[in-house]
Order: sequence, then structure tokens, then C-alpha cells
Amino acid sequence: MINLIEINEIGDDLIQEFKLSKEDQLYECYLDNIKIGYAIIRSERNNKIFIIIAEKYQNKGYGSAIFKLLVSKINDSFTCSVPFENFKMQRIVQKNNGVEIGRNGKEILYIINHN
Amino acid sequence: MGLFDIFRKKKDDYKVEQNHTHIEEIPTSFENANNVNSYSDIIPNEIIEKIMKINNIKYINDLLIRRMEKHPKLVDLLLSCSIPKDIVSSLSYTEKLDYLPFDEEELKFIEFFDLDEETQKLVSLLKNIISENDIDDSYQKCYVDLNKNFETIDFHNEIDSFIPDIKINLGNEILTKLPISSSFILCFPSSEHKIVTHDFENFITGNIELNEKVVIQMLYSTFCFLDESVIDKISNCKIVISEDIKIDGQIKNDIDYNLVKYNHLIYIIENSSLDSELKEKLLYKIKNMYTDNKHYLDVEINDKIISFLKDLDIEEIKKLTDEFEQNIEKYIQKNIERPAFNINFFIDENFPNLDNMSIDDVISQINWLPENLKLTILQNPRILNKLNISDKLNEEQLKELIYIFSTRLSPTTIDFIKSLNFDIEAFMSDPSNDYKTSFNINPIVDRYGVFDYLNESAIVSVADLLGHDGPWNWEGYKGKNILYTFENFFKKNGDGYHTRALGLLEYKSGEELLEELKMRNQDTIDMKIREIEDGKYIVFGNGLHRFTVLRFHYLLDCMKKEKSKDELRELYKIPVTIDSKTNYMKTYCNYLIKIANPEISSISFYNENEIIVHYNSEDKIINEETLLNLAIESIDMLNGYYLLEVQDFYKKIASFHDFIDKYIPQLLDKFEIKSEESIKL
Repeated sequence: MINLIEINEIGDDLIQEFKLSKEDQLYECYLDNIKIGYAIIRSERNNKIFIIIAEKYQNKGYGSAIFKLLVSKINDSFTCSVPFENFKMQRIVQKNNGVEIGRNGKEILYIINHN
Repeated sequence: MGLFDIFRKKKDDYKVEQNHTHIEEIPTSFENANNVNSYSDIIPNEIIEKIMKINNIKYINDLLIRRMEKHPKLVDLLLSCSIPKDIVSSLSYTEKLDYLPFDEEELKFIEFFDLDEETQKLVSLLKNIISENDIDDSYQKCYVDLNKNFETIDFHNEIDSFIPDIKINLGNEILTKLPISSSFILCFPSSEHKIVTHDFENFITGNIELNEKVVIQMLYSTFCFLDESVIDKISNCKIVISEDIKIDGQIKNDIDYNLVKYNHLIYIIENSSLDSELKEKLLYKIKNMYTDNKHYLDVEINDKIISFLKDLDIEEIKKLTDEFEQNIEKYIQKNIERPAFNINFFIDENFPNLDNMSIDDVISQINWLPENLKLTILQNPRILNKLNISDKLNEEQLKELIYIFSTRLSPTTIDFIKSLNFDIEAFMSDPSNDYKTSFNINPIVDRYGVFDYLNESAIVSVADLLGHDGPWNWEGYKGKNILYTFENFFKKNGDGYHTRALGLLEYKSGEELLEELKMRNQDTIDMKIREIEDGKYIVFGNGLHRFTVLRFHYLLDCMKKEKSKDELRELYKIPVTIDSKTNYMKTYCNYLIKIANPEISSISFYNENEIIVHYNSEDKIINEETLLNLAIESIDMLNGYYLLEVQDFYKKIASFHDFIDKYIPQLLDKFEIKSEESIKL
């Protein structure tokens, strides 16, 4: 089972690695008791959600599950932009009712409406 | 120029003093040794020729002239010792006047006198000089230091075998030590001695004698200043004066130690108490390793051979080694022949643990083999069984299989295409059988596309379904033929995504598959597609498995040409859901605005009245009319690079061409070509 645990006191190393601001929310992602990655809800526009999963846990549907959990934490419609080469994330967003609202040559912009 | 040439007199230059009356017939001593030039031009050609005939001096090179400048006595030698007294005495008085050197101060013919012993010895070496080309082909060369006495040692020749702690005794021999380099090269007949190398030092076998069979090679500069003791040593040897003293390449070593080591290993295995089957296998490997020239791969010897000998008793190995040493002379020379090809051993070697290898790995290994071996391997029952090929293949079938393997299609795909009967090579080499992405159809839409969402049911032909976008830019990109995409959706023994639609591969034709899909229609969600250009679609979101197989069958039917293109287009019509289509106006405005305005990070298209332009510092909400105006304004800001890009797209993309003509015709003024000259694709 996938669950997210919010990190309240974010260390400098993680702030630097993920380029976090004070308002951003950082979560550790767990598969049962095994940490498999991180998820970020950014406060800035156009890139609300950011998911990082360790390679050996990719392609198993965990990204989609984590995305759904993150969506549930945001009580509003939001947008996110996904780079063209990140097909996996594009599929996750599409499967979670993400609607494309634009492309800027580097990324695809989606809106995810909160139901 | 020959040595004597400077002495050759031009007859016209010679002036005869007719009035000398005090000339003596008996020559007297000549004392002015430095005044070479005073008589250097007065030896007549005839005298030269007489001297050369008498003394048979075949080789005197002009480098010796320099010696004469330092040792005028050598000149005298040529005048005196080289000119025998009987020649002088045979000259008439007139000839003496005409030809012999004359000392004008003392008014006498120059007398001849003896050379000192050292010079005589050196000059006597001149008689031993031969040309470098005269050195026999069977001669070996090495450096020697003639300024020292030769050093001989009694050498016990022993080498390490491949087997740890076991040495091979090659016997004792007397060896003469050689320097690494020297100003003398010794050339000797190979039949008399050999050159050997031990512990990085070079030796000659036996005691070398400096006799008439031996040639000493040196530079001119070395020759001129030879020490008397060296001259004595080499007085019987032939001499070669060279411009360069260098032994090219490795000194040839008589014993091939690797051959001895391999022969030793072979002897041990052949005569050991090992199981006969194991012996046969090991001997096959060793002989192949030797004939493949893998002498340097000690690791291979250890892993493939020595590890199998660990069960042999060390005393057995020592006893066999003693036997081997008793016939060492034979084994030093004994050549190792390549064994006859053994398919089973070859498979064991190159397909280790065949039963547990994946089919992918087996195919990959086959691809590495040379062509002739591929044919052989693919007739072996073990390999065919592993590849699930039950029938014996003829040569044509074998060649087709080899081609299929070389394409690196996945095993599941190979099974699929083998079950159909078509020219695989022709299909794969035709670029019209490649799948397309949005980028291939319209790169502006791929990068800047804005879409109208329709969610409409429609009937569309597979002929117009060109491909899909997806994570198919896999590492080790093999090619864009549609068959390469099969492995992304179909894999026996794969996960759920790759096995759930394997049943689609059971159908032998597109018609059969279409019939089946029609029957399933009510239970299956329609394929979801997106229209990129008018009448050109990609699969988007759902139906990739079906698309892949249907599109393949459609392209195959096109290749077969049993039906016309129109018939096929009709046959391959399927129900789909059109998810979205390109809104050309918004797409091309988005593109032009973005490339001309770097301060705009993106534009979001919510609806026709809610278009948000995201500047770096702020957002602005605009409508469609403003969007178009912004695009028109942007064309003035296009730099050279983007202008060229826009011009290129104008020529190649029909919808972009129409958009420019309709909304921004003034852009054409910036192009190098006019509208009617462009080529629509």
C-alpha cells in the first residue's frame, strides 16, 4: 500500500536538492514500510506536483497512486507542466483526468480539476 | 666519387718542366706530408687503373678521403704501398716525368715509404669490406661490444608452465651474453649459432668465434677510429660500412616458449587420469585457444583449463612433466594443429548453460557469430529446440532466420512474424512501414499544439492512423518500423500490460482480426485518437495494442497488393473516439508568439475567452482576437533563425501554409519565396 508522510522539518540537503521554498510541501513516499521516493506540492503556479520515484520501483503504477494521493491533498483545481520527454508523468496525469491546456515548446501544461 | 678520383689528372692541366736536369731515378723520402694538394692532381688515370687491377681493391669509398686529410701517410700509401715498386720501376723516364709526383723543392721524384703498423692494419681491413647486400639471408644479427671480451655463462633454461608451481626444464646451455646496444653489429650464420632471450637479456648460443664466416657492421666514423685491439679481433671478419646501425624488429628467438607450454599442458591432459570426455573437451579448448592466438590470455587458461586440473594429484603432474622433459627437443618444435570443428563443444563454449539462457540472449549470441557459423548453429537440434523451432530448415529458411535475428526484434515478435508468410526483409526495409509520431506529422502541433476536445464517435480507417506518441524512444534505438513497437505491448512471460492482448497475435490476417474485433466491439472501449492534421491521426490514450497489430496487417496488405489501396482503406475502417483535434489558429498563434517573445513562458488555453499569457513577471488574460493580433505583431520580432524555420514550415505543412495565407499574408514579404511558389505536402 502506498502512503505519504509529510516532512515537517525539511533539511538543507533536501531544500537544495529539490529547490524548495518555504511554502512548498515535501512528502516521503512509502510502499508498505519501504521508502520508494518523494513527492512535492509546490506553492508556485504551473508546477504544483512533483514526483520522484527510485528507478527500481518505476513502471509499477506507484507514480499514479502517489499522484492521486497528492491530488486529494489539494482542495482545488490546479495546473502542472510536464516536460515532453517525461511520458510516464504525462500518462499519469492523463489517467487522472488531466486536461491539456497548452504546450510551450518544452512542456505540456495540464489542468487537473478537483472533483 | 671514388677515392682515386681526386687524384685523377686532367692531362691538359699537367705541365711538364722540360728543363729539369737534376732528376734522379731512385725515389727519395718525401717529407712535406701536409701539402696534399701539391701532388693531388698528378696521378694519371692509367696509373690508377693499373693499381686497381693489380690489387683488386673493389671497394674504397669516398669517406676514406677524410681519413687522408688527417693522415697524409694514407695518401702516400696510395702513392707508395699501393703502387708497387715494380710498377715504378717499369715506368720509363718520360713516364716518370709525366706521371709521378715530384717534389719541386728537392727536385726529386717522391719516394714511397711504409705505413705505420696501425694504419697498415686498418687499411688491410679495407680488403675485407663487402656490401650490405652481400650479407646472406640466413644470417642473424645482434649487437656486440668488441671493446670488451665476450662473456659466456652456463645457463639452466627453465620456464614456468601454465600449471601453478610446475616448471619445465629445457636443459643447460653455454651462452654468450650480448649487449642491448652497441656501435657494432655482428652477423653470423644461423646454422652455427642461435639468438635466445632469457629474463629480458639476449644471448648467442655457444662461444662465438670471430672468423671469416662472420660479418661486422659499423658506421664509417667507427671504422676510421678503430682501436688496434679491435682491428686485431676482427681482422679475419668481413666488414660492412653502413650509414645506419640498427637492428629492426625483435631479435628472433629460436624457442617458442608458448608452444612449449601449450604442448606441456596438452601432454599432461592427454596422459592424465582425467575422465575421457573431459579430456576431449579440454584438449579441444586448448588447441582452439592456441590456434586462435590467445597466448596472452592467462585468465582464460586459468578459468577454462587449469581449474579442471585441480583434482589431479601433484605427483602425477610432476611425473608426467619429467616424461615430457625427456623428449623436450621434440616438443620444442611440435606444432599444434587446429582441431576439427565440434558443434557440441562450440555450443557449450559460446552458449554456456543453454537451458537457462533466455531466447533473447541466445539470439543475441547468434548475431555475434560469423555467417558460416550462424548457418551451422541454426541446424543444431539443441539450438532449434531452444528457439522453439521444430522443423529442420532448408538453406533459404536458415538465411531468412538469420536475417530476422539480425533485426533484433523481440522473441515474441519473431514468433508472430514467422507464423505469417511474407517477405520480412522487404517489409522492414520499406520506410512507409514506419510508425509516426505527432512530431513526424506536424512538428509545430507536437510542440505548440492547442486542441479542441471533441470526444466524438467516428469511423476512421487504419490507413489514416499513422502512429502514436509515447515512451518509445528507448535506449538502443533499433528502428522505426512498426514491428519494433510490438515489444512495447506484447511479451510472452511479461507483465500484465504485455500479456493481456497476446491473443491479438493469433490472427493470421487483418480481415480475421477485424472480424474478431467487431464481435468484441460491445465489450471493448473504442480506440481513442487525436487528429493532428486533417485526416491524419495518432492513437491517443487508449487502444495501442489493437492499433499496433491492425496497422501492421494493413501495411502488410498494402505490400502484398492483393487488394487496391481504396479497398484496403474501406476494409480497415474501425469505430473510434476522436478525443481531440488541432485548433490550427490557436496552435500557430501560440507558436509564433512563443518563438518571438522570450519573456512569455507559456500560454494557457482554457476557453476562447480565457487565454492566459504567462509573462515572467505577470499573467494576462486575453481573447482569441487579441491572441491573433499578438501573433501578427510577433512576426516583426522574428530573428533570422526562426524566420528560416517559419519559412520551412510554410513550405512543408499544409495547414500552416493555409493559416499564414489567411491570417498573416504580410509574413510572405519576409520570405525569400512567394506563396504560389511554395510546395505543399
